[in-house]
Amino acid sequence: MIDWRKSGHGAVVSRAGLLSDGTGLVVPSRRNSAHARLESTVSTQFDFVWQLLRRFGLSRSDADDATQQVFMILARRLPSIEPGRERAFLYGTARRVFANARRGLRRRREADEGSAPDALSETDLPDDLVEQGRARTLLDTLLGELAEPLRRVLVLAEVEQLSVPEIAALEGIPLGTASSRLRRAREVFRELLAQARDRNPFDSGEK
Amino acid sequence: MTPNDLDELSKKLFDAARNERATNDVLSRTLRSSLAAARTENRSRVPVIVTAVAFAAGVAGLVWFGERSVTSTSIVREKVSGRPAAATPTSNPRETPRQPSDVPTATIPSKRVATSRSSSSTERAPASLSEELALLESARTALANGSSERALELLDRYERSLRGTHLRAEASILRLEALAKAGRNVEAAALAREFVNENPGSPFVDRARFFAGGEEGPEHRDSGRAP
Repeated sequence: MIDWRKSGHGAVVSRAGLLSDGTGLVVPSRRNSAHARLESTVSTQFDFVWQLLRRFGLSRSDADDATQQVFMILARRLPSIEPGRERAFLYGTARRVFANARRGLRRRREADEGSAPDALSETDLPDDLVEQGRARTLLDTLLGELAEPLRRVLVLAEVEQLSVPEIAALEGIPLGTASSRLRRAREVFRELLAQARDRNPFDSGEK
Repeated sequence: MTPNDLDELSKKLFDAARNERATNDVLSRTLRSSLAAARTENRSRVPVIVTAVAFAAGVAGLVWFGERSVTSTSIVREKVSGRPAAATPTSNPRETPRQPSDVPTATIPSKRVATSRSSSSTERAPASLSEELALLESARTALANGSSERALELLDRYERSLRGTHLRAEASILRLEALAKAGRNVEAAALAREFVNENPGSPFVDRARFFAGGEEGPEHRDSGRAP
């Protein structure tokens, strides 16, 4: 706990140390560094969390909301999270938040174009972006057909581009299990993709 | 379909996934709400005595920020006056040399205090994400209001003063838009080509290409479509 003493000038100082910008203002250094840590964590992990939630199966706007939830949970618990363990905490939280979201919402993948951030209609977008949107729609359909444990490791490997040891650590499974699960996920995904291509040879705007 | 085709298609699908990002707006509100959540949590742990100068003024400033996104310099000016540092009389020459109206807003007064600059400080901490977001939001608003010159000023400040690192790509695209609006199309085209060359994997490449103009050769385009 921070030990507060009132100085003779009515300012508040912490035993942990003064932090001054040269203007004579002192600020509680503990709070300052806690805020810095939170901001830095949000800054570095935001995309990681959002992309997880999105590819686990949430629409853009649901992923937006869920991401916000995840970081608010982190914010409240940060003091008890060991430095360096933020991503692990975020991953576990994202999984839980996703599970809750999925229980509460219908998955709206078919309604979500996965198009450019400014959400213009397809006719306004340059071709490249339309194609990317279609690619994502196909991807989400295929991922949705995978069992969740397989989907998760595949997303971690292919979207987040994590190594097998990193995946094993986040999932809390042995290295060998992670490795075989990922192999299996890739096999099944490939199979699903082949089937999809056979059904729709001109889908996804492939050149 | 051959295995290679499958691999290529698979790669393409995941590339498209990696290119998808939330908007800055979402990042912004995520940051704000998590900082607010942390403050609420913190408040319950800290003794009541802490409702002194720094905290009360800081909360007032933070609540202000929470209620409005920073979208204009007038708000920036008022926000600055709410900061604890402004409540403390100072004649210290190391206080930021810029005018209060020029000071970009940050969500955390204490964080800003810790990083307020002086040329003699050994290490100027990299720009906080909040500062960068606030500055880019101001630039975006200026542009929306038709002030492309003002937007470019703010973007220059982003480059030089904050030495922003988090949102460089966004800043570049915003600069392209501002240059185009200001009629400086040749500069926009040159900057756009540079961006495309240096950031081939960026999610913003398509938007940058849009500005690269008709001078852009076919070797830079996948589809050969008009800009």
